[in-house]
Amino acid sequence: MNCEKYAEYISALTDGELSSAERRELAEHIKECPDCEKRLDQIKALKETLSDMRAETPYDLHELIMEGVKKENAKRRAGIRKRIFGLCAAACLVFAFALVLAPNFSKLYLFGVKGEKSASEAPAMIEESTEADVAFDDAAVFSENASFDTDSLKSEAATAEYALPAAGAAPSAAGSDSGGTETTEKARSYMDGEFSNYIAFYGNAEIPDRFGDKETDYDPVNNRTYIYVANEDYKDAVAAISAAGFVLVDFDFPEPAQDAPRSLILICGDN
Amino acid sequence: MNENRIIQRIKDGDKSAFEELFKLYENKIYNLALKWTGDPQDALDVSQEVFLRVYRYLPGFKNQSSFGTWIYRIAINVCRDAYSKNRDETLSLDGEEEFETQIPDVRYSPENEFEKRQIKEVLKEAILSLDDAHKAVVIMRDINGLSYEEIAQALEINTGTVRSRLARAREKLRKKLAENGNFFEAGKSNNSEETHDKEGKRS
Repeated sequence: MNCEKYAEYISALTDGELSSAERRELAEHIKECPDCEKRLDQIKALKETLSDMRAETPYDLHELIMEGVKKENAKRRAGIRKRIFGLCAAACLVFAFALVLAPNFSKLYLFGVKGEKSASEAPAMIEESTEADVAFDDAAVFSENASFDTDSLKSEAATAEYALPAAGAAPSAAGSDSGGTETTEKARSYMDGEFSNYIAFYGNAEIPDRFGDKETDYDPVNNRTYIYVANEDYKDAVAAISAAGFVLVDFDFPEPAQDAPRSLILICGDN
Repeated sequence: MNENRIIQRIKDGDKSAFEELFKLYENKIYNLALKWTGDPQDALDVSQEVFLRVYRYLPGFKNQSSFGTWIYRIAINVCRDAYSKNRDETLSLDGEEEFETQIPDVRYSPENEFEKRQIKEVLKEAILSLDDAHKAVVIMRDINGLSYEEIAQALEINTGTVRSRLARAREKLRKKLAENGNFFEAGKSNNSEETHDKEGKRS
C-alpha cells in the first residue's frame, strides 16, 4: 500500500485543499487501511493543538516594536545632521584650498574625461561626458580590464565632489520636509528591496540603456538612473563607471543588507 | 481593503499610519518567530528587525506581491539568517536525543490542564527540531493560518510544493508525538481505537 501518497492526501484534506477526485480516492483507501484512518485522526488532533498555541504574545509587544523604529529614526537624524555639518565644513575648507590648488583640481575630477575644464564649469562637464559615452561602450565598460580600487577612488573623488557644491549637495540634501532625513518617496520606489552595497555617482543619467545588459530603472522626475547588479559584478561595474568619468557622491542610502544578492548603483543627473 | 488604504497613506507621507499597519501584524510575526526560535527574547529581536525593515522599505514597496506576502517573506528571512537549523547538522541530532529523554511516557486525557501544557511543550520541541523548509510551512499554515497560495508566494515556491512539504512536516511531528507519550491514544477524536487503561476505564 502506498500510504505515503495518502499521507499527503490526508494532510491536504485537513486544509480543504484536496480535489474531489482525490477525496474519493482517499475515502476508498481509508476503508481498507486502518493505519491511514488513524493517521487522519492524528493529523486532525495535531492541527487542533497547534491552533491552540497561536496567541502567545507579550503584553508590551507593540511598545517594544515601536521603540525599535523610533530608535532607528533618531539614529538617522543624528547621522544626517553629522553628514550635513561635515559637508558644509568640508566645502568651506575646500573652497579655501581650491583658490590655491585650482589647476590641480581640474586635473583631478577630469580623470577619464578629455580636455581641460576649470572648477566652475560644472554644466560643461556634463556635456563633456557625452564624449565619454563613446568610451562607455557596453562591452568595453564591463570588461575585466577595469581593476580600480574603489576605496582609493572614493578618497580621490571626495575632494572633487566638493568642488561641485551644487551637484554634490543636491543628492544628499534631497529629502522630504520631515527633517530631510530621507530621500523623496518616489526615489525610494526604485530602491525597492535589499542590497548589500550602495553607491552613488554624479553625471549624465539620461541614457539608462548605455549600461548594457545591466538591469536599470530610470527616474525621470529626479533624473536618476538606478543600476541593479549582482554582487559579483559590483566592483567591476563601479570601476567602469568611475573610469567613464562619473563622480562619486554622497547619498542617503538605507543600511545595506549583508545577505542581499544584489547591489545598487545610482547615477544622479542634474535636476 | 483596509490594509491597502493604510499603505497608501504611508506612501503619501503619513508616518503615523505605520503604527496602524504594525498592529495588524505584530502578533502574527511574533508568533511565527516564537515558534521558530523557541525563545521569547529571540522572537522579540526577530520581530523588531522585521518591522524595522518594513519601516525602511515600505515607501519603496511596489505592490508586486501583497503586503502580507512581503512581510512574511521578510520574517522567514530574518529567522533563517539568525536562527537557521540547517547551519549546524549536529544540532538537529542533539535536539532529537534531548527530545527523547525529556519526554516522559505518560498516559493522559487532554482535559487535564497540566497535561495539555505538556503536550504543547512536546509539540514546541518537535517543531524546533524540524529543518527550515518544513518548519516554515507548518508555522505559516498552522500557527499563522496562511493559505497555500500565500505561503507559496512568501516562500517563492509553488503550491504543490507547499502541499507536499506540509504533509511531510506534519508526518514528522505526528511521528514524534506518537512515539513519545500516548498523545493520540487517549484522544477523543480517535474513533478507530479504544484503549483501556489499567483500571478498565475507557479513555
